[in-house]
Amino acid sequence: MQFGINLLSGEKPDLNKAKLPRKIKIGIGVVLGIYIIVVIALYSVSYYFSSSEKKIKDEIGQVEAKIKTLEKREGLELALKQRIEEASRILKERDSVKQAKSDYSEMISQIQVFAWPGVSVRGAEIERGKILINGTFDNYLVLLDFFDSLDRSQFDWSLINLETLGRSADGTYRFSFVLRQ
Amino acid sequence: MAKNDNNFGSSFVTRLIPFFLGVVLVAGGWYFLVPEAKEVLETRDSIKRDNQRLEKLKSKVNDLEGLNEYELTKRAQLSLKAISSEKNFIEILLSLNKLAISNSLTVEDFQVLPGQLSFNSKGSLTSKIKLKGSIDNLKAFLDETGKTIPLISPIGKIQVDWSSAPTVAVVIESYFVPLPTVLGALDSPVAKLTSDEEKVLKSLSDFNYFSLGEIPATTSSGRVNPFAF
Repeated sequence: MQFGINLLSGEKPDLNKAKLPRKIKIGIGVVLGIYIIVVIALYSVSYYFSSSEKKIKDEIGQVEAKIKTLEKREGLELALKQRIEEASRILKERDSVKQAKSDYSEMISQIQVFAWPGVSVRGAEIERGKILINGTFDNYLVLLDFFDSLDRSQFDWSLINLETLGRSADGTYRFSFVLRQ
Repeated sequence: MAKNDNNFGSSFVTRLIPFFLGVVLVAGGWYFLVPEAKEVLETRDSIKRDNQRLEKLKSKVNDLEGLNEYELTKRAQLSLKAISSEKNFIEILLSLNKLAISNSLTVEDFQVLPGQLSFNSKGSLTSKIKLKGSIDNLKAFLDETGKTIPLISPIGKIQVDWSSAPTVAVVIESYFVPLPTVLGALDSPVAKLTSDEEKVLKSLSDFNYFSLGEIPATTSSGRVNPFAF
């Protein structure tokens, strides 16, 4: 007696249908795997960045505290800087005045050259680049020589202007003139 | 027929599962991953900014630690002698008086024109002095105003009376800059002197300073001014 099992049921199985769920499963597995990797990577990076940020903030806090302990030095340096900036400005201004030969001491020196026989300077008003001189002289001829001498002086006057000229009752002549650089 | 239905059902389910899974993944990504990614990017930028700030702060600490406090105090004191922190009438009066005496001049008159009493910003104090002496000494006085601290400058019109005992009336300007009340941001760099400013400071140390003598120390109470010397 023989027994047999018919393994071929007569209907050929659809191999494509059988493969489809498997392909999908693999696809899902791959997608899920990638997704999980991305999630893990993202949260790892996030954790790393957060801890780095905290570490840097802690360090910043420490350095800031250190700076606060050095506040006095910073204050001194700032006060020094402000003053020296102002001093630089003042000294630069002085230099430019000196270069233009219009500082007051220099201009008084210029008046001193007016010590001319017969001419006496009574007073002067000095501004930067401008001198108003007044004085007296005994003889009007002296004044002409005096004006000539100004022309020959070592200073560069752009204008020598006789402002007033008068004669007093005692016979002396009064004058005032302006010199401009 | 039932077999076909069954096939259709399983085929439908096999297509539906990935679809739902896709929806879940996209939704999860949208609600959780995208904000997280944004936060990561923001944190990265924040770290970048913090690192830059940290570098600045470290560099500032190095600069501040490199300053010798004793030397710095001396330099700041010199600068304060040159330019006061307030309108200091007495100091200017005494300084001009001593300058006049050192040049054999007599002070005939002294007036202070205080102007606006504002101490919040830098400014100047104007005073008028009338001096008597020889012209050469008056010139020397004017020259020395440029080599004296506190810094003073003759301004405006000088009136010279050229008699046997000449007199000069000079308007003098002195300067003041209030002390800083705030230091600015913690990460702002230390205000270092430039090489030109170092030269200016050095030149100030060669200027004449007519010491006003010992000023008695005051005891402070309450909040201590960090800029006080």
